[in-house]
Amino acid sequence: MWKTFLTVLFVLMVALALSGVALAGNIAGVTQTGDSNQVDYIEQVGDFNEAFITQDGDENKAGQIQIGASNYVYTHQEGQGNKAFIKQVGDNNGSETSAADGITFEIDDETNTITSPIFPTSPYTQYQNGDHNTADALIFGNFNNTSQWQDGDDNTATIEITGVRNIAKQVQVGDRNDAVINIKGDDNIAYQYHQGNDYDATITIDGDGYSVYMNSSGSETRP
Amino acid sequence: MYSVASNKPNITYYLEVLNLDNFSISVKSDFDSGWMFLSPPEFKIPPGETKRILAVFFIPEGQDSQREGKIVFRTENENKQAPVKVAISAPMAKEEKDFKAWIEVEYKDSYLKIRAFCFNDTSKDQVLRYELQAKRDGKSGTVNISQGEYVFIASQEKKCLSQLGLSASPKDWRYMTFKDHYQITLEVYKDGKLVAEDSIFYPSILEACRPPGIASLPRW
Repeated sequence: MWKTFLTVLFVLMVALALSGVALAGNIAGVTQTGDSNQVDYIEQVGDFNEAFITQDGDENKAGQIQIGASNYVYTHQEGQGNKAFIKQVGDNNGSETSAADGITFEIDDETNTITSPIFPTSPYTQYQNGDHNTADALIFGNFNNTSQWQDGDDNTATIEITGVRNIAKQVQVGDRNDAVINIKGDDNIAYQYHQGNDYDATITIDGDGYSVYMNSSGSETRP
Repeated sequence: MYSVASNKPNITYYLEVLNLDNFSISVKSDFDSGWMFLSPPEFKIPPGETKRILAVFFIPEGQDSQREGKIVFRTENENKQAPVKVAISAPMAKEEKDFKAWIEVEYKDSYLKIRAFCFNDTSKDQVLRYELQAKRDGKSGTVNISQGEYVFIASQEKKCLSQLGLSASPKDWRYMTFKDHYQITLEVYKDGKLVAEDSIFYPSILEACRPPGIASLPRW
């Protein structure tokens, strides 16, 4: 009871902060503990905004919309049957530090070599720990960096990108996971990693760019 | 009663009609004379023998189309076998034959590096569209990567159209030898018409990229 009360109180405080549309340079956050919580969406319009949602429980939903440039969005869900959705429209959006990290793997045109991917320790755009979770990311713009990490079974991760010079990364650890990356535009990079069995991975790029898929053992660093 | 076989991949075919009965039969062929020609159109076949007839399909060179039709063989007493289905693609114009597309695969640092190339051997600069697909099917899961776009290729230019990487550690190599199936296809189109293509299937990809220490790879 006490835990529930604290949670509700915090959500109310955050809800007040989230009422209306945020302008440039705002930070919005929601932390929820328990089941069947729902954040329809945090919407931010402008540049240099940050939004994070942390949910610990089952059957939760988290939605985030950002319109502008250089925005950061982060979703962290622990539990079963959770759903996360983000939509970003603009340029240079992504996770807080991975955008600065740039490409974590490289295919060198000149030397004809591929540098092994390095798992960044930076926060992922969407992180889910548990089973039967769904993560969707819809990106319109350029120079965006979107990453998804799912740890568990029967999860689904989807990234849809329209733009140029974007990076999409998906990591799934567990069994029976599905990962989809669809990209329309040039100079984009799609990267998928799987550890587990019965996975189904799809990368579709309409435009030039790089696609890298990796599975099984690897030097992973959990976010 | 009788059967028909045709297997020459050209605009001109020879059809073989076999009489499986123990008596002689007279056969008449029905076909679309607008773009087909069979010689002879009527013939007799002794019991147990085969009659070879010439079949020519008229499609103007360079026409961007495929034609489909059927040929029906019937006997005097109107017995007829299932129609022979015909599907013919227009032959490529000379210039279109001068596009060359190929796939190169390199195994390095636990990766298969797959690259698609095209060479424009015509005298004109061209805008082409390519579609590269890489599929991997194995016990642990399936991977399907596809990439396509329009590219400009100058006359006599060789261009790398696309490249992608697929992980394949040495341990996986031994495993894939028995389980995983690779299919990599490249298609190049001009004005929506296929002008060049290449494909690599397991196990040729393994043979081409066989890592050190694995002497031989069993065929699938």
